[in-house]
Amino acid sequence: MGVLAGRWLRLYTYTVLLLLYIPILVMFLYSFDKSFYASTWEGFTTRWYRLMLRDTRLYAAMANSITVALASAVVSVLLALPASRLGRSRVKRVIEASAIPPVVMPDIAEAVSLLLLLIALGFTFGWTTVFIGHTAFNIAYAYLTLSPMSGDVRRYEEAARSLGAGRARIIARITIPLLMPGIVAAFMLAFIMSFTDFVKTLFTKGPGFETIPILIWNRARRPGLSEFSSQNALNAVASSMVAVTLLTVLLYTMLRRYRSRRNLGTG
Amino acid sequence: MTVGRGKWIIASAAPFLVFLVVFFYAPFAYVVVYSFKTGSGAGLSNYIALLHGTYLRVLAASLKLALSTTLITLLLAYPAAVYAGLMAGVRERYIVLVGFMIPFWIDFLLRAIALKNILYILGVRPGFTATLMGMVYDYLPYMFLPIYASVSNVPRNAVDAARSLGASAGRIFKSIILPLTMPGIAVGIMLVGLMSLSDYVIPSLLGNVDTYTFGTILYYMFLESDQWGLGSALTVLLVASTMAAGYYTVKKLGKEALEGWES
Repeated sequence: MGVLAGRWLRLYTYTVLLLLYIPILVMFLYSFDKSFYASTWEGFTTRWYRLMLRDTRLYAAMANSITVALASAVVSVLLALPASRLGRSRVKRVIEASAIPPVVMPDIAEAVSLLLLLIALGFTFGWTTVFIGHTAFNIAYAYLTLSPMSGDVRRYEEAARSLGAGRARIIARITIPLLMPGIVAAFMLAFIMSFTDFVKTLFTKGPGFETIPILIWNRARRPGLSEFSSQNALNAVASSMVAVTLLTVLLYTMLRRYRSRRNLGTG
Repeated sequence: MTVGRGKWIIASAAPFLVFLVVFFYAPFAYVVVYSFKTGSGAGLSNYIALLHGTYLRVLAASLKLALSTTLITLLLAYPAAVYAGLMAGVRERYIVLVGFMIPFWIDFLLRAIALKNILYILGVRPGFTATLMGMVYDYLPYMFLPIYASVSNVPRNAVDAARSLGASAGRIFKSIILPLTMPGIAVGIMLVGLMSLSDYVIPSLLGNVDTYTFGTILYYMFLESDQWGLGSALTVLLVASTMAAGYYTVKKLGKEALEGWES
């Protein structure tokens, strides 16, 4: 295509990219503004971040978010790991197929279905039901992260065995080192999915239970209620979360790269 | 020790399956059953009730929002994907790709909060337009990435060959680029269409009482009024259309088109 078309397309591309980043940047900016919401700039302040520090409701929500995400990630990896180690068999194919729908199904459909069943089974809504809801999709993500590498690991184990290595030695020198990066990646993915989940939480939490996303949403829905729910207070909370997310993603990418480099090195 | 083949390892995979069946598949089965429940027995009354004028209008409004979102994200993402995948150098391509990947990782809710600032500044009141802007903003990366994947598979030498044989830019686009990127377009439309159709977060934050999606309708039916039967029927419809869209895309484009979207 012509040079001219290329130039226009380039301008277009960067304009679209800019549109993606402007709201985030404006949010960062206004989290340091004295006013209550993005209007005119009234001067620099760290007021909204200081407000966060004495926000006990935020602490409670944070505790819920972290404990649910940790528990869900640990259980997901523990359940998915043995399943991902299956050799080629009919069971493996069943598991493989059953892990796809939780990833592609609209979360709202999953959420209302689970709600209905949990009510029918007489569950008390709160931490446990949220944990169940998150783990129902997280085990699928954990499985899909772990299973692509299981074939490779098995080949190395078989090679080691045919060379006379003992069982303990295979586990210590082959299985654990080769599985570790996958386990860490699956754990982190599950943790992020749980920590950021909104819809599944909304339908399984019951009254009174809050995670960080639920708290932000509750406040954003009623912006005039208190200074905690003003837009710029939310900007500060959301900006902090964006910063944490980006750091986590960076760590995750570095781990993956490390893993693929290792795989290249050994294979 | 037969690693991966022994009976013990099959047994150790059982908890995984049991958990999925009990807390993912059983709920769906229950909703399907529930959707056919009527006052006295089983029947289609919930589905028939959805054909009532009020619900049809609401469902049409959801479709309008989803279609508008899909169309606008397509128009924004496609040229950018063509530029990044075919025309940019290696370094620039990487920059654009990462540029679209980063928002992909920032949570929907946080991006909706971020966009609220822009809506304040522009003076856009909560409603259809604000929700549409929010959806376009949140879903753009989901349109870009699959299209980019198919653009980067277009052989550059085919484009070069066509050009050296005198094909115009328009002709190259119509005969080479567009047909070869159709799979990416289809996956992008499917992803964005389904996500915007079922979304709840964005309309609940940026919409008003007249902004409908399957998500807001389901929220209303399950949590604000006790219309569980109707809600179940709507859930079944949503799941069925998701499955149909997924099946159609896989069938039409082959499994490769969806690869990388599973994990």
